[in-house]
Amino acid sequence: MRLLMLLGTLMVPFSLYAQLESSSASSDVKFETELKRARDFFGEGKYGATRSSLNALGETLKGGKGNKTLIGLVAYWTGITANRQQEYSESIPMFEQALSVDYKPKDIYYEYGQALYAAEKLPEARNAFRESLKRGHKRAVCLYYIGFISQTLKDHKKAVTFYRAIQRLPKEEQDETIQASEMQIGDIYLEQAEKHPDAYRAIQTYVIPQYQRALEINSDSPLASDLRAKIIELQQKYELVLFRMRNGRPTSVPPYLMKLSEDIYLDTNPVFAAQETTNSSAKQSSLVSKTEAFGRYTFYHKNIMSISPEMKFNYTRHLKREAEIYRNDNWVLAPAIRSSYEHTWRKKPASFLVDYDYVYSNRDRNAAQELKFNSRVQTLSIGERIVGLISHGESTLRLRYRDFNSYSAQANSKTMGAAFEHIQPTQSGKMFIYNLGYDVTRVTNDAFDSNTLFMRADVILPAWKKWQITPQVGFGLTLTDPLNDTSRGLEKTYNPSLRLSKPMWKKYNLSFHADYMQNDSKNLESFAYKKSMYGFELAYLF
Amino acid sequence: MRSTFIVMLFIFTQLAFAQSKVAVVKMLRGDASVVENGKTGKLATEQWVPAGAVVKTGDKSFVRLVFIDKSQMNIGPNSEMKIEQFGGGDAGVIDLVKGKIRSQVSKDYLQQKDKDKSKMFIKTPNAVMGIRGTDFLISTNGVNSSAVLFEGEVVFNKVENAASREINTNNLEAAVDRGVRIFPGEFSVVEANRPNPTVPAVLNVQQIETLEKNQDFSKDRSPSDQGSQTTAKSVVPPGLSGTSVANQAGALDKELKQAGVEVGASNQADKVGIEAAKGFEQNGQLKPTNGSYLHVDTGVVIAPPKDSAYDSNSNTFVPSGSAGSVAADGNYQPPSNVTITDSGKILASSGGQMIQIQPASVVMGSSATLGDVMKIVTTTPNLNTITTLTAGVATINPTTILPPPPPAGSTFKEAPTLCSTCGGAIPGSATQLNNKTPVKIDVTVGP
Repeated sequence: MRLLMLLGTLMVPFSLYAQLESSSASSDVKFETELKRARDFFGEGKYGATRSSLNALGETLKGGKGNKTLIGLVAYWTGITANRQQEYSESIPMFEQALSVDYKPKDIYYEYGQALYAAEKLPEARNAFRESLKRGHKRAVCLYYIGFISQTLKDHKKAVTFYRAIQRLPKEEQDETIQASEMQIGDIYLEQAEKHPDAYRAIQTYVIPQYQRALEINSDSPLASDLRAKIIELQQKYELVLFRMRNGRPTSVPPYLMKLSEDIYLDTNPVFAAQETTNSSAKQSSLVSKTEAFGRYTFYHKNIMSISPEMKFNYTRHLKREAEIYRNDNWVLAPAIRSSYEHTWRKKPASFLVDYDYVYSNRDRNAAQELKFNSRVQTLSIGERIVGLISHGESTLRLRYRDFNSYSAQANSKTMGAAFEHIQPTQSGKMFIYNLGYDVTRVTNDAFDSNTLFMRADVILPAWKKWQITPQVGFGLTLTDPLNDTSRGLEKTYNPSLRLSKPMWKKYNLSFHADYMQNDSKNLESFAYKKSMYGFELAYLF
Repeated sequence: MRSTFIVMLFIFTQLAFAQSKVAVVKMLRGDASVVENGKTGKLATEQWVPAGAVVKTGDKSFVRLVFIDKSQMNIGPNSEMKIEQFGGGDAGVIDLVKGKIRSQVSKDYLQQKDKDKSKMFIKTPNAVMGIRGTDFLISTNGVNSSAVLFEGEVVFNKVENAASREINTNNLEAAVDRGVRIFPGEFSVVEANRPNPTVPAVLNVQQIETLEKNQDFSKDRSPSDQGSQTTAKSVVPPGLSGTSVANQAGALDKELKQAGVEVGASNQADKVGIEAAKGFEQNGQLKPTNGSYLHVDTGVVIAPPKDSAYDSNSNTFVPSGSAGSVAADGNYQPPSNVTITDSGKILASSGGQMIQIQPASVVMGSSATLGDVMKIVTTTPNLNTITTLTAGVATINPTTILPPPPPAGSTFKEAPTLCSTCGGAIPGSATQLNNKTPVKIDVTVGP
């Protein structure tokens, strides 16, 4: 009996121990299940649910059953989850709890630093990023954070030191931090330069070159547009680059324009009418290829005057190879120089214009598949461009003198003329362009003397948003009075036109154009003609 | 004979009942009515609703319908829906005229017949949704429609004309087949001025979690209960992007493995995934940025601002607090001085004046998103400085609030110029250089 009692006494603790063991094992299983559940929630981005699970786990661990690693893990995990919810006031103590039990995963200082940074605890954040840097976690970004915090705390020397340290990291680690750090150095320079007595030169010497260095690192990055905007803002503020003339008229930015284009169109009746005294008509259609190159550069003399030399070359080839057609093949070389003197008229921008144009053309005039000298035209014009003469549009009045030299001396002529152009933009985004001109032409063979009145109106409509197509429609009427040739009568030339332009990719522009031209003349044989031209032009703008 | 007649009568009655009475009201809050055969009556709990009936709810009201297949449909406040067709072997057709429906479709119902076909359609004035999933939210203000999915799968498309909206399930199936497929956590919007629904994007993680919990629209968005309004600043320092400062998603899993917890593959989006998360607009398709907020009532998408953090775990961008927040009911809560009207107009108040904010990009990038606009609206004391006046109405045009793009091909080369502050001398000229001491900046230090 006593033995039994002794055995019984011994059995009780064993039984209790076994129960405790079993309870502990079951609790471990529950803990692990809850961890997995929290991980599932976290993976699904359900951060509220993750936090609830982790809070429950944290409570279990408070009961004293957890070891330091588990306490640290749950605290760290709660911290990074709260960071994703942007609840930094809750994540910071969690990271501190994890660190207090010496739980230090590689990224804990980084996450902790981000939380402190967002909570505006900048010195503490800087220390955390230093620790993260020591651990080699996201070194470039840590250096950037330290640099930026130092910059914010006005410790500029330290900021530049840490920004520059990014350059010493391997390229694959630098990522976008290298460009951003160069920009920040530019910002630091700017802050100091703006306080400098000679701010202008400080900005020109240090700040803009620094931004340009940053820009050169990657000119296509999202930051590049910010950098360009900063440079332009400074250039405007400190007048480093001329953006406006003294009367407020904007300058060309960039100062150059270069364009290459290829125009393929169907001409129902090829006529080489330009500057000719007679028009011959082929009365059959042909596809035409016109290749053109154009370039212009504008030089500004202070903010008073501009001079723009330009050059145009085009080559026109008719694809139907019949003599009546290909006799119109030609090339044209047309240099010009345009100048303007900026002043004001009634307190509004005005420009005095002096232009010189030279047009040299060769043509297959003998239909011998050989381009020979056809004509040389020089035009000198003076004019005045003013704003506010009619409504708020821009008007230009020009007087011009033209000297036309043909391969045939009989066709040589001199023209005196005047032209008026008015451009009227409207509030709805339309732009109306009106032209009116009068030319008096005297030809060596005075049978071709003429007086010409020219009228034209065009309207450019706002781009159709869906397709980004800009339509332009216009109508021109020319009245030609052949003074000494009564057989022609008063000739009328009608020219309605349509152009649809669409920007393609970055620098291409595709246009569809359709033109109709009809010249009514009593001399049906030599001067009356009708023609249509329609085709596509693809242009590349540099 | 008599007993046979009674049995037949019973069966016939039951069949007729089964065909006409398709749903029962299991929960009702506030005011709700039913229009049946042209007659309007108050709706009550346990009342049966037949096919063809229109259910309407008032302000702060809610109705839960349980259908004969055990599908559950929660009708939100200020809503109107018609049960056009249900039961009888064909797919159900619900017409949501306005308001919102949160639905949990019975899995039994979904397992019927062909798995690739929609088991139920919900139409709105401009969209149709084919239900192949179980838990979703659909909403319309009559102009825009939006769909959010919590579980399963739905297909969503725009309906261009009235003919496509007819009850004919073949038409509806054809319409949804050309639509977008939405997966859990994603949303899509059909807008009046776009031909296609938006490509599904992941909704802001906080918003989807809150919406998912608010099954019965019981959380009210009263001013005293506006959810978690955080004003924390962004963790992204100026100059960097959210993706570059984001911590790797796999770091936690490494720790869990070390602690002996079995975990699956970590969510770590690759470069392509991150780019897709930013959203895009190409070939007529528009995908909002992952992490965008959705104003559920109007379908307005508020894409995260430029400085949003990137969460590599959920592959979403996380807007900072000043871009707005998630209200207790899961809807988007704009900043306190911004209102989104029922028709989707966004108005900001400034100095006693209401200023309309123009639609903005829903793709994070070079142009401003509504998130960017919201941030500026909350931080700019006088909005008139950034507004433009169009036809007498003050508007904020998002394109005016970011730096203007530089002219193409800008070279930034110094041009000869006069400096108004340099006493007439050309800067850099010999005259000026001789008169000035050299400029020195003391921060040109290196490590």
